[in-house]
Amino acid sequence: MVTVNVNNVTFGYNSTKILQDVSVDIDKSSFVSIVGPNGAGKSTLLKCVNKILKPESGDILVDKNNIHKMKRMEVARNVAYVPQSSNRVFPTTVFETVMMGRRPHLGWFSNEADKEKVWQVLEEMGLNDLALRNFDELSGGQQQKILIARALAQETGVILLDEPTSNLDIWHQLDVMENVRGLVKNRNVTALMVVHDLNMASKYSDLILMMKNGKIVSAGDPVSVLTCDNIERVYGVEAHVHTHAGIPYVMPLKQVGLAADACMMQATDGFEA
Amino acid sequence: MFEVFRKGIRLKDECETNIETFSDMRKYGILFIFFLILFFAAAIAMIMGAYEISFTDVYATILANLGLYGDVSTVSKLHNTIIWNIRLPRILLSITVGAALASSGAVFQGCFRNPLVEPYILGVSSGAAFGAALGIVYPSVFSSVQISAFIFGSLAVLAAYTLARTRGQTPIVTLILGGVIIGSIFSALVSLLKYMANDSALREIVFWLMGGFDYATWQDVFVTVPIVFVSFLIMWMYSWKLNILSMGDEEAKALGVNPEKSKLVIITIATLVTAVAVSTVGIIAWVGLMMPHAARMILGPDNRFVIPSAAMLGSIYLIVCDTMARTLTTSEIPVGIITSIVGAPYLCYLLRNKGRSLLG
Repeated sequence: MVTVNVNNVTFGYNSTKILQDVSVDIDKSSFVSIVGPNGAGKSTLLKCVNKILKPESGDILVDKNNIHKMKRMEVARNVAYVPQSSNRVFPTTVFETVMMGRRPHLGWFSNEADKEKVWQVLEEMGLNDLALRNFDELSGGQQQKILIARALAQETGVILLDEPTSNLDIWHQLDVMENVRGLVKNRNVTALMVVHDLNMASKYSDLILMMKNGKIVSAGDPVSVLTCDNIERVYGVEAHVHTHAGIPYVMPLKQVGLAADACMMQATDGFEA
Repeated sequence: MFEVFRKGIRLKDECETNIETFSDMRKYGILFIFFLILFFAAAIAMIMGAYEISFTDVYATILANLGLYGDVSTVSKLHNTIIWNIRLPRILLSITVGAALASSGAVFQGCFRNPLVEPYILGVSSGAAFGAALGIVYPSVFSSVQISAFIFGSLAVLAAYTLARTRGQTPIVTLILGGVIIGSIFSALVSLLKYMANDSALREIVFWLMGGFDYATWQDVFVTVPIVFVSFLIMWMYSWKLNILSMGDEEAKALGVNPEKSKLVIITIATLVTAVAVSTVGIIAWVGLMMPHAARMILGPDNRFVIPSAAMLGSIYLIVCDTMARTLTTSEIPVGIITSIVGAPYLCYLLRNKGRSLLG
């Protein structure tokens, strides 16, 4: 069980603040979704947790350790990152790609035990038939699964996923979400996922963070976050929320305001929820 | 249902056996074969030359000089000069320069995430050419052509790197543009020097630019071998980080590699070896571009194997080309011409036939 604590994190390029004083505590292994309009700072928050970006102020603790006091290699042993897509200049096989996840543990050398681990991960994800194919030749859905497999091979307590479902058809979207939920349950990892599809977030998440203009405006379980009121305030969209088997489903109806990035300047006093 | 299941099992077994047959052990085996080829290529090149000396005489001379067998005083003076003072340093220098250019080419390609990059991309060759031309035209100011070439070659890369660095980052596109800018400035300056030079200096500049081993001495060997060897070991140590770097900065960070720091170390070392090679023998084209591709075709994209195999292939290639340069005609052909004539069609073949699988 791994905890993630984000304490008063602020991040910006020059004068533009992308994250403003963001705090969130994740106390037990869970599936956490970050939702919000484009430009809300979702991916930036994710990248701060992985030390890809360095916040101006504030601390991020993973398993009670401050990641800014850790070496990058040490962070890589604790937090894995799954990018939205990944392109290869030199063709690598699926096996080699997943083996990359073992590198933070291994360095230059490789040994049989680690190869065996890679095989196990591939089998767990149902990818062993693809092991010797080139990463580039595979479909977007398969590539996404391989990137998740690489994160898995990294054997970290926290996995960050940046819009893993955005380019996928609904079968593969469900496949990725099921896989991640499996990891949270079986391996006790904490998954932090940026996702645009509110219904996917609703169906799978234990905790949803809703962001706008660099702040978390609502956090909690799907039922408490995905309300008509929140969606209208955050997205500027009137929506119908319909609960089925305890899970809220969102059906957007019409635009009622400007896009979130357009009204960024008109600041945010009302959103201290 | 059961059939499908069985098929799945069989596929997995096949995959595993394939992986096993192409395991690291096998790759080390291929590296060893390259080493043997290199050794025999060097041994054969020792016997070949405009002046014919028999196999036994050649190796008697070498053994005598090494103090292993016989005595140097018993060897004919002429043989001793040709074998020990001309051919051997020349071959050792081809090995060193070939390894230097090919391994730094592999490293630059990985670091820049671009298979068309060569070691001269950041302007080291134009800088060195300018330094060499300065040394040739103004011998009283720049006493050593070699040192002047080395200094200006390194300066050119430093300038390109500084030009590209913005807000603590060195994006690859700006780095390449920086190299192009600096390269064109130094090329223009070389042209200016050529224009100003007298006939004999002009001739010397032109020969220098074509590259060659004809002035190879033991002193060159003693200077270059240790630098290239140590740099090679450092690049080889960084090879696994290079694998991760070739996935892009963000993923590299996520896998624990600091891209800025690694790039700086890698570019510095690769530039150092390239500058040493270029300042010793002039500009030799194609080795640094081609050999990493050949290595990748044989061993796959893992830089832990690409770097050493590219180095050995580069050495073999330069031994072959230099032997041709020495023996094809009665007068010597600059080796840079041969590497290009042999190399260009080869790369053309690669692009036509393997381009898809190689370059994606």
